[in-house]
Amino acid sequence: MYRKLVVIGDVGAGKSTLIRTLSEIETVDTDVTSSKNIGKPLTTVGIDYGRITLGEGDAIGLYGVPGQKRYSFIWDMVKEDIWACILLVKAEHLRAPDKLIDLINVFINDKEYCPLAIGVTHTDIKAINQVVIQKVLQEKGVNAPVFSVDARKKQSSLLLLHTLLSMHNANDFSKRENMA
Amino acid sequence: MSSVKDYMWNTLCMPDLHPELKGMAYKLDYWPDFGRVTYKHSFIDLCALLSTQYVSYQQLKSFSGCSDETISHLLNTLKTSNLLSTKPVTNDRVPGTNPFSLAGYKEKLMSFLRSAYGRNEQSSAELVRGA
Repeated sequence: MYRKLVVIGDVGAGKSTLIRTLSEIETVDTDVTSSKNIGKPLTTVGIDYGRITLGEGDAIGLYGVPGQKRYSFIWDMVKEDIWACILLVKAEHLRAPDKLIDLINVFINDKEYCPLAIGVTHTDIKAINQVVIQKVLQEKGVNAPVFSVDARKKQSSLLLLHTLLSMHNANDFSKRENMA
Repeated sequence: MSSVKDYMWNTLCMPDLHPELKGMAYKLDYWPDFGRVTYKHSFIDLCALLSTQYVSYQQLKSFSGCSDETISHLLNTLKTSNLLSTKPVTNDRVPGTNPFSLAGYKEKLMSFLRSAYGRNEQSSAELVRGA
């Protein structure tokens, strides 16, 4: 079975890098030269795609999706039947949690169960207080792990993927306990 | 990485559960930032369990298959870090003796993670489950 892991986030948050770090195949990306100064020469204007093959019949598809509203037509293309979601945010952009909530709601609001993990990047430039962020998110009804990550590092990427798998397992546990 | 936090996560490994945590059920209020502290990979599994609902020690142990030392270490550290809520266990149903085992794609994904962690020289963590 094919499962969809969606990575959403702002320009320069590290979506393409994260997918490149996790993918076993050469990633398909839609990078173009940026017309604005966004701190890097290239930016993604469509979907990044990578894959983790798990043996016969099972694979995780990795979809990187821009977080800007003008790309919402792309959101509609990938938001169905999501297995899990990673939100990547640059540390300096955490001042606007409402925007994050809106974005999260697009992808996980009506799903039966879709775990979400939030990776905060560029924390070497701006430090974060992750509990404060989680409190703000919880007040808005979002209870998700928030980790400082470096999308270039395998350890960080695996931390996010492992957490999503563990959250799925925990959901199974919760269902089992509630049925008992 | 905060050296103080790292010190705490590495050294609060009391051999026994803190007395205030005995006979309680636990729920994770907020996840620790595992991007900034050295952790055992089983901590991720345990935190995910604790994030769903109040869970007793026996439920944690039964479902995760983790050692007493690992569970105590995590609970002691979460409590000290103010990340954990507790309430007395009222009806600790005796759970099954078999730890939760992964099957299907989850087993394959865990196998992928194990293999990927193993190839990552920067990983200082250990993968307890399936080790």
